[in-house]
Amino acid sequence: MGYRNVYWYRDGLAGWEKGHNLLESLNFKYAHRKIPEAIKPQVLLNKLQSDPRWILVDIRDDKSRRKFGTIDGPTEDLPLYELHKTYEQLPDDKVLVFYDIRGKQAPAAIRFMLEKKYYFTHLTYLKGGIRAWKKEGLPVQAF
Amino acid sequence: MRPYKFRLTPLVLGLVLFAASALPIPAAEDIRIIQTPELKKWLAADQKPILVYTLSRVEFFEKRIPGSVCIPYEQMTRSKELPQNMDTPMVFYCHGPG
Repeated sequence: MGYRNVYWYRDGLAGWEKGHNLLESLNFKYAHRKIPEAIKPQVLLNKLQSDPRWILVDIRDDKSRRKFGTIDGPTEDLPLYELHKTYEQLPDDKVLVFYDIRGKQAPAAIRFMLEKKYYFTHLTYLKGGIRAWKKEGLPVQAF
Repeated sequence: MRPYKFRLTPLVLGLVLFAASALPIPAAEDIRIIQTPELKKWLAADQKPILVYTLSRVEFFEKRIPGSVCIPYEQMTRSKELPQNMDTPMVFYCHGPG
């Protein structure tokens, strides 16, 4: 893009926090609260095959979808970087299973949905993300 | 005859250099890494850098370094929050290791 004075703070939030430096946060009620438990890949597969109330929410971007593939099943594609604008598309009468690459970003999506008054019992996320799913040899489809 | 790997080296090096020159982003050696104490000092100075959090707004709502702006990397090229002046110092960060 042509910028000439670019730096990378590689240690990021983890490094900043480790040095006991102040972090800023919007005072979300659920920011530090317990979230629903993650679901293991094989259990999720069984749920998707047996219960039509379960739907997937793929919060990855297209690059990751192309790289790792996608899980077959009813899915809403809502990348995390747009979720704050698109979350209202998600039904509140279904069980929403968020998934990402490693299961690291989905908890933030869940906390956001709790903040937006979606039911605790209607939210979960895939433990270990699509990587864990593939590691267990479960099927993916090309994006 | 030279071992196979040595015959390949100039070709591989050439390809890497060619690929690096064609990239729209700076090569890794052009990006300077900044450490926590240095960043802290810089943020307390009068002429601060623009501090950019590159993950999602949903994560930014939860936790961020004070004074940051959020520009998800997927939207970086079309962001209006980036400065016009190409010499403006900018520091990018995300979660970091772990």
